[in-house]
Amino acid sequence: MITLQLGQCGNQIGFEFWKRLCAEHGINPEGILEDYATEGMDRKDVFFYQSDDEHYIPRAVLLDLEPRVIHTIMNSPYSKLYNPENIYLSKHGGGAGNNWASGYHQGEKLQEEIFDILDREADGSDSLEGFVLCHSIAGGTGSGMGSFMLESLADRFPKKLIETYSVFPNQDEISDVVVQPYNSLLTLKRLTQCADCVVVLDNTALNRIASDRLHIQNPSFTQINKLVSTIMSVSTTTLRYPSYMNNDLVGLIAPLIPTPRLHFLMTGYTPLTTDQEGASVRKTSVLDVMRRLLQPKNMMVSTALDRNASHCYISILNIIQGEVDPTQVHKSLQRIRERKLAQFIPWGPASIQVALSRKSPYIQSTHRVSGLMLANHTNISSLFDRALQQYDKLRKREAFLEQFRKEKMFEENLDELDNSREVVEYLVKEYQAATRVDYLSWNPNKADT
Amino acid sequence: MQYICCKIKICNVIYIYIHTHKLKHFLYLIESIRRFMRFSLGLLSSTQGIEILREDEVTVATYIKSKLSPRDAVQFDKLHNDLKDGPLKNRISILIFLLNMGQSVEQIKDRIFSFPDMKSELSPIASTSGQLSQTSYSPAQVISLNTTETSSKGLLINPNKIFNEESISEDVLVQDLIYSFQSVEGKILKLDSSYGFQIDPVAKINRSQKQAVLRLSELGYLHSVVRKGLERMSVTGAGRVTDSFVAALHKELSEYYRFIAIMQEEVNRSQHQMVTYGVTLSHLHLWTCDPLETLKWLASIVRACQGQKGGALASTVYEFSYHGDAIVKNLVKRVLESVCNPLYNMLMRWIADGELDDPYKEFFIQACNDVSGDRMWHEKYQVRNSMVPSFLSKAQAKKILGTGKSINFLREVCKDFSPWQDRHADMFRNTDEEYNVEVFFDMDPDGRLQTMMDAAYKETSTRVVEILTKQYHLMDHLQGIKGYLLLGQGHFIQHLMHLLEPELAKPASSLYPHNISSILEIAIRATSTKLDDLDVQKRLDVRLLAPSESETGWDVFILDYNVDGPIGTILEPCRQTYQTVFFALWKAKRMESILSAIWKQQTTSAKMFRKMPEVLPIQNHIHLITSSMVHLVHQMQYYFLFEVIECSWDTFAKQLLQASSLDDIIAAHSHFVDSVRHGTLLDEKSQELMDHLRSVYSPILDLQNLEETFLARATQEYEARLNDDNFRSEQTKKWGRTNKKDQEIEGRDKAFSKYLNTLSIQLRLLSRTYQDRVKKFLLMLASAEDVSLQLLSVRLDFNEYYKSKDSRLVVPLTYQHRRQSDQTFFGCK
Amino acid sequence: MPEPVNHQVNAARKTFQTLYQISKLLNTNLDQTTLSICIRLCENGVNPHALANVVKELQREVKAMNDGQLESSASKTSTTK
Repeated sequence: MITLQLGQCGNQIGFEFWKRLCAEHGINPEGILEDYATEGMDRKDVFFYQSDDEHYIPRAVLLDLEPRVIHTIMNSPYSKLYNPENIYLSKHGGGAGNNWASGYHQGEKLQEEIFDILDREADGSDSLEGFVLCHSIAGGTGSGMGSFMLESLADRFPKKLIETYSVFPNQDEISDVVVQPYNSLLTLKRLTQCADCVVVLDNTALNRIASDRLHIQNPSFTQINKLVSTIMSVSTTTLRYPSYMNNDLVGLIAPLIPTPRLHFLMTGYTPLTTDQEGASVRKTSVLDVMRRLLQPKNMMVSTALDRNASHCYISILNIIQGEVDPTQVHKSLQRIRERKLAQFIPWGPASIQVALSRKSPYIQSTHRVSGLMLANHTNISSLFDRALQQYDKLRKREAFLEQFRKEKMFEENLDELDNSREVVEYLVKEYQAATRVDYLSWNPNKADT
Repeated sequence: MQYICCKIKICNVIYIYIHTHKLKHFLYLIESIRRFMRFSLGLLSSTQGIEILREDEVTVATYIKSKLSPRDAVQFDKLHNDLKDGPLKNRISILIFLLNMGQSVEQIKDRIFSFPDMKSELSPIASTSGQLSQTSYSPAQVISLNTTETSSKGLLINPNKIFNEESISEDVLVQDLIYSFQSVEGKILKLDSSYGFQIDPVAKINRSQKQAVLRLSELGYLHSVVRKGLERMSVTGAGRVTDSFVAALHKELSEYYRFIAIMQEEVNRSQHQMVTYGVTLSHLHLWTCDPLETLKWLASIVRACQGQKGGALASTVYEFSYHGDAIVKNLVKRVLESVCNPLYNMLMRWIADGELDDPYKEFFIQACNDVSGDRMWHEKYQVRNSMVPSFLSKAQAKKILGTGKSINFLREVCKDFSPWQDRHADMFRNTDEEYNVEVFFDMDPDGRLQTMMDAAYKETSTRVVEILTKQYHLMDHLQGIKGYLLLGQGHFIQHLMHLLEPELAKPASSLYPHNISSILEIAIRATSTKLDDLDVQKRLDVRLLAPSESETGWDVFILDYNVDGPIGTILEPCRQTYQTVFFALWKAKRMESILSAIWKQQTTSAKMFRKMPEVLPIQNHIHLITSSMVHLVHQMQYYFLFEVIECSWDTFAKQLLQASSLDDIIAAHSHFVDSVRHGTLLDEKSQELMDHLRSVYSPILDLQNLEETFLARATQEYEARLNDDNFRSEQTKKWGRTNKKDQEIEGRDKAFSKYLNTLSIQLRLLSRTYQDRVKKFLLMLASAEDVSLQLLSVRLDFNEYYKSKDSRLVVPLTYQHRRQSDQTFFGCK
Repeated sequence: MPEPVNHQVNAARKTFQTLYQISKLLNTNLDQTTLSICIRLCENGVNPHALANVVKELQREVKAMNDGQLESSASKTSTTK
């Protein structure tokens, strides 16, 4: 598993993610295993490799077009953790100017150097299963260069899986990035076509959770990124603490994703607490956790409730950590079924899958049981729908297109934008089709309005 | 002060005495009074005899009684008792005083024969006869020989005895009876065939005497019974318990002989001393009362114990101890004590050293010496049920068995010769001396022996458990089995499967175990975390079942776990089951991995085939079938691995923590294995379900084939088209279209779309078969007895997808419905 | 209050009667008065052996005196009782 961190946002959440992984595996900021962690039952080799001098080094590639975030990382205690050869900073350091097209083209130009790093890294892994990409879809580097990377990865490593943790922009705030709708749409096309699994991290929902659930008035990036890193680490916990099942990426996502395009996953996490108020130790049962995970307020994706379309779960995987009595799981599922807490697709068997996973012994948690839900829900299409609407608003006015026209891809025409819109629209349609019984006979080719 | 008081009082006494006696010549006597005074005071103030006061009341009372005639003695007893209620402070003094006063008057009382007296007088003789009885049983003759003459002499001398010449004198009868008591024939009493005595029909005896004699002769009969019984039992090689039983009874008999001797003595004496009345039949009656009782019991014990040995004999004797009469109880207790002595010794050796010292097979634990190794614990030592003394409960016997077995287990299997053993044995040697045999059969649940045995059991058991867990790392092995054989280490299994795939796809007959072993090693090395026990990994082994025709490696490959030593005792019996379980789990895992592969190929190839829109429906279809299969397989996996194995493991781990002996561990483990076997549908009852589950799996393999050919075909087509496109673009550039090429392309297109059509039909067919099988499987689960299987059925159809498609699944699962649905279902099959 | 006293007296009387019976059983030749005195002495800790000796001696002496001095007069010793 090779992690790619792209852009400002990607590197920030990546940084938090590695911090957390280090803590969970008992690896200190310099990459050396702590004395107390030598007896671990965990698999560090999924995300780290061991250099000759017993250092654990993340299989991470850090890419950015502007130096700010990476410099912060390099000035942190974790600076020695990363392989310096894996950190790539664009020489001119000007960034992508929040322009997708700029990011994309810079990526194109830098591809030789970047793929040198990636090939070397891929050769170093015994059995490379895939890539994990952290980025945001709003900015320039994460979206533009990310899109390029997605395309080239799919091209160069056709047999490898690509999972992304994609941060969606906050829709409640007026973004300072005016071309954000363009950026998002263009990236969404690549996420639809090239990625195999996208974990949607919706800033709207993250902010809402931070303020409503964690009672933080003005949530900082760090706090939100902590939340993200929690999701990222828990969603990989079955890989790192191998148990009976879901020990590889395919095993994890295959049951979640029935058809290739429906691969946008929502997440939910419980219990949500800040560090300060961790003291409230409640007796949480598996049922509590599972029930709470099904509540929209714990979801990390803000979806407009669309009552008309009978949105439903395509699949659910609950990763439950902590002291869980395996016998409780079944009862909880039974209860959820009886109360019809979750609506599932009508066209195929589906259910809540449960993966019981160990917790890192090195992190003290006040919570006996915690759970992460990875869900494939048709309602995620509302997110794309919104992106489409915003795009349409902007596009109608032909606003801010000049920046794009500067780049090669849009020199002649804006077909790429239209094409992307089409792809995303199809995606929305497919999600809507998936709520119906006749999804089996749904043909994306014939899909019309 | 007290002394002065005494003096004054004594003066008083004397004065009063003199007054009461109304001495007339008072003045004359003043001098003598003064003399008395001095004398009395002198005597009274003397300390002489103070120490006599140390005598206790009972002795004094007894002494007094001995001075009195029996009637008076009784009277005295009564009075003495009355006194005890009174307010006297110095009762003993008064009694002594009175005794001394009484002694002054010498009155010779009739010396009445009293048995205890006689006994004590004759004890030297009796004791010798007692000794004799143990070596040979002829003391009776010894006594009777020296009495015969005197008794016949007495017959002549004693005028009473010649009173009636015609009938036989009582003395002769008495003598004959005494003979008969020792089972010796006399003049009149003759032995009959069944050891009983009959009066010589020639002898003339009056009726009442005859009856009395016959009644008394019962004693002789009983004696014979006892002796003959003992003779029969004291064969060589009868066993130690029997030997000590015989010895104990002889001891009891010697007591009896002593009694006979006393009687004989009495008879002799009465004839010598010409006492007015000699020993009569009534005397005998009186005297034999107790011995008769005793002998009756001895006889019945001997009779009951015939042919018994060892622990069974102890049981039989123990039966008799349930008796209210304290005398009988004591008698049985004495016998039981010596009977249990050898057993007790064996027990002690067994508990302390784990040694069986039992040449005559008397102990209640037996050993089969030819068993060793894994089976040692299970089979080497057994409780010999017939020999368990009835005063030991089954549980106790089992505990005792466990104690010694544990010691042997430690020694033989665990090779544990730590000094602990000696300390342990020492502890018992000490206690051995402390406790006597009595505690053995005195089954006081809180008794010391019980406590001691419990402690011993606990200690040895704990030691075994400790050795197993600490020295032999039981938990590591169990974890290893859980991790490797029960797929706990999912990543390892996945990796192994990945590596083995090309090898196992070959026909089973062409597989070489060593190839696979080396792959196994690679897999272990690649996936092991640091903590994994090397020992555990070394024990992993590959086993290939005997291949039959047309089987591939998948059908014969089994992962095995080699165990030996003490751990083998626990694990070896379940090895077979583990293999079966592994086989089933491995198969399920393989399905999972096939589906993962299909999924991955489809997902990745979807990007490639985006340019071939006509394959999209096919891909979609494959995807949907795959996802429904993935769902089932994952849910089944989850059920087997978490709900069955993990939950069973949970209980097992809890039981292990509480286990205090190897037996507990074995029981917990076999319970674990059973529940796993049952849960994974591998026991006999679930045969049908398992068979059907296999049939549910088979479309997965079909799908794999279809998918692979499709992928190959589509890729081929895709590349061909790419070529075509290039070709066409080139052609059009250069020469324009060529019909030939176009035709070729058209033909290929047709063939491809035809292929897609057939594939689509195949897929539909496959999907239907699969769904039908799943539905049937769900129905079978729903109608299963086991609630967890019914729930599994619900789980597999969580969103009621299948239910909506099959009306039979809709009807609530009542018992009646179940039967009906079974009938309709199997009817339409 | 009087009742326990009565009780005590009764008990004492009873005890004395018992002792007197024993005394008779043992042929001590003691009359009630003498016995009563002797009991009281014993109760007060006089060595019973010595007391017995004294009393016996007294009896013997008295008998001798009676025999010697008053042959004709009726014997008053307790032996006849």
